[in-house]
Amino acid sequence: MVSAKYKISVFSRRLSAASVLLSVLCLCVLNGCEVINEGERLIPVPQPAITDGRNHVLIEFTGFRCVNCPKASEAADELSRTYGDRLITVAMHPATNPFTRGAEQYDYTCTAADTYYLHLGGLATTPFPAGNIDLQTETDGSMIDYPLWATWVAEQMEQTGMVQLTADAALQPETRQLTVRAHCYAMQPMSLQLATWLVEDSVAGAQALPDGSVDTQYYHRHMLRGTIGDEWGENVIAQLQPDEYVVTGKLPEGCDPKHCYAVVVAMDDNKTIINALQLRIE
Amino acid sequence: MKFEVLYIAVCLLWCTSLCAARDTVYVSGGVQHDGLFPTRDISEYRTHPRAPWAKIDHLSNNYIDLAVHYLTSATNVVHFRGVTADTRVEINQWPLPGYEPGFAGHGIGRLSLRADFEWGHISVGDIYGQFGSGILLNLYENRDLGVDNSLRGAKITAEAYNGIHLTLLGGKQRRYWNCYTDGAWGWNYSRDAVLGADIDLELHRWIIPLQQNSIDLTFGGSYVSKYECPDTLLQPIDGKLYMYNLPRWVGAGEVRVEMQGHGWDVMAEYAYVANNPTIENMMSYRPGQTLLLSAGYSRKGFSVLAQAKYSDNMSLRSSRTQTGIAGRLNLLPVFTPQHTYSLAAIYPYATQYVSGEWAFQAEVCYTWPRRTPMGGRYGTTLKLSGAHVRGLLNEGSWAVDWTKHGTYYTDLHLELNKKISQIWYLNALIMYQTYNQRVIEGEGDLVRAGVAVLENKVKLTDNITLRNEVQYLFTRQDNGQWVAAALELDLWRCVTVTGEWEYNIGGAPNELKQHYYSALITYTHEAHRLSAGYVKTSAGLNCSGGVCRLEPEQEGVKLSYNYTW
Repeated sequence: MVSAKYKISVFSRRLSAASVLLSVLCLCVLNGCEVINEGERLIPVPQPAITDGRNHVLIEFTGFRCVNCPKASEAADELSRTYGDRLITVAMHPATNPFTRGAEQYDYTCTAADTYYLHLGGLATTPFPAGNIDLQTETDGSMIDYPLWATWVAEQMEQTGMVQLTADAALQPETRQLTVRAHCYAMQPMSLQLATWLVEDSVAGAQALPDGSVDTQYYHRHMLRGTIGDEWGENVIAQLQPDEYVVTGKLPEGCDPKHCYAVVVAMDDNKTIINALQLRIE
Repeated sequence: MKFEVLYIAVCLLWCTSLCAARDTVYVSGGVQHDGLFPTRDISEYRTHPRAPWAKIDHLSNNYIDLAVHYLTSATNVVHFRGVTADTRVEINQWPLPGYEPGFAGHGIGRLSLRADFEWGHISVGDIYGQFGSGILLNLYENRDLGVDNSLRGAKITAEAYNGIHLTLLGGKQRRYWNCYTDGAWGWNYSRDAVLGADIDLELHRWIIPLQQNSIDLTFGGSYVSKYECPDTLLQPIDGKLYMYNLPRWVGAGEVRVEMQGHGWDVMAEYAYVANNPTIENMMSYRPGQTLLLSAGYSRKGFSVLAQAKYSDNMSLRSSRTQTGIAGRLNLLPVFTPQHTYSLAAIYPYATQYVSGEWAFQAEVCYTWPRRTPMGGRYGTTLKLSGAHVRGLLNEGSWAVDWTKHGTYYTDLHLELNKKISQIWYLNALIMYQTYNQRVIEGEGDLVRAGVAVLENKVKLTDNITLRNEVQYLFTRQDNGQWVAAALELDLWRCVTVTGEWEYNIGGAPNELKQHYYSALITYTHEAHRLSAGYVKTSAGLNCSGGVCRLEPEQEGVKLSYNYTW
């Protein structure tokens, strides 16, 4: 038989415990929520100083079946408007991801895109859109969601360049032979890989959209069509008086020279891009 | 790592001291190994880009669970009843195909200490649990999906008074491993903290008329808050840069009511999340809401269920930059049936946490009794079940999108279960599905499919049972028609021989028309289970509770072992 005194004792102990827990709950309610009013959600930040220095490459992995990729492409365009020539955007369509699968006339894939995609750890199950800055693989997870591109690019822009590039590109219209000549300058001799990417803008084709429709008059921007020479480039020495790097290759069939341009990328031993240059084709 | 070593040392010392105690001490645990020796180039299945893949010929997921329980019946001032120490070691450095990159790793996946009292319990370490239906907080482990979203912190649950249950918890959420980031042998966790509080009031304990009428009435409420330091997240607009003003505290609350009695079970639950801008919802500040309604009735031989769910922008994560399966705090009920037949499960539904949805589900199940015209000699059970999921007309709207693009998922099926004779059981299923691939998988068509399944189980002798099934899926979209068959022989209640086969007979390009098959032998002896065989499975979604993982096509020798004690 439990005495009344014992019952009261148990009840009061439990009620004390309940009071403590309820008080903590109230504290959570009062302090655990912060509402940001509509006019205060975006804070202007100082505009980046555009100085001569290292250029960066934003790689956009995309596919015509990827319904959110047009939004990512717009985000990349916004970044290009912000940073000008210091940010070069290249869109890659790797065949190993199902978002690029489709009928033959919508095949924008190339083997170079597959090579870089696999190098960055891209899998058949990697969701698109995804991006990367300068082929970097140091961080855990090399594919970045597009809402984070602006932050990543801003962080990279603070870095100064150790290598300077100059280059020019010339096309022979009859043979569609493209010749790129480049020089790499550095205060101290540096061994690096120099590769040349062929990029085409405004490629008319199809693109799936978020509302489920397919836009058959969509213009794909900055599409990687292939490389001139080896995908990982050639070994060159950057120094104060460098040798000339010359590479020649043929424009792929279907590429419109008027919309094409070359991107010369300099990569270090980790295959990370340390500088890049976008060239109009003369 | 120092924390883990200290914890293990304390547990070992405590276990040693318990041996001399008079009360009950017992140890429980388990070992699980699921492995695959692929016949293809193993690099196709790499999960983490930095995991060393050279000289690897075997993929596997391995778990070792160990728990020490101490129970006492002695009376004491604090009404202490016992304590349990739990540990789990995971070795998933080269996991089975299809897991997220962060899943690859190894270490101590769980450490916890739980003290039980007459009035409740206190846990420290890695804690699991859920509030209500889990729409705000659901901490659980699912090895098939690679989900383990436990919190490392503390939890206290108490029955403050007769019928008042309180729970308080807090901690940092687990997010896979960090062994490829800094070489540690431990788990990775969110940078900042999650706090939660829950209260349940069992009104039937105080209201006499409810007790007299055998009606249980429970009101409940929860609050979850996550603290996260503001990140520097930038947004360029018209050539200018802006920084998001991010809330440090994101709060979410819910209320619920449930009434049970006389075969009825009626439930309503509503949750609200204040501004929660994340990468997943494209940095949207608009609030999120969920409403669940459920009513069901059951008695012997008959049951009926009807449910509806509305959700919008209800993805709650411990980190605003996290996407994928890891790092989610809540789990919205899926409200669509889970199928076990392979072709019926080809198009499973994945809950749309951000874009939102309206989901409806209803089910009627009736069993005709024995020795009736419809029931036959042994009875007949018929189940009609339907589920329909649609999108929202606009962001934040409660209106349903009734356009063609608003169809997310439909499942309407009729299932018959009948015992034909003493030795023969029959199960038949006919189903109609619509499946919006663009919404659920990110790309594709609106698939309309019909599925038919016939399954027989025959008891050949007391110790030998033979089960066979045939399946057919018809659709004009995606990869077209499929056929499947399975044969399972159960011998002496300890050996099972299984053979399964699937073939895509229409629609797909020729290179995709392949035979998919598996042949497995399973041996079960008391708590041991060993399975070995050869498998070739097609790519597809593996879903559980609306959370899905994409599994690639796999082929190779499969080996599994389970032991629990």
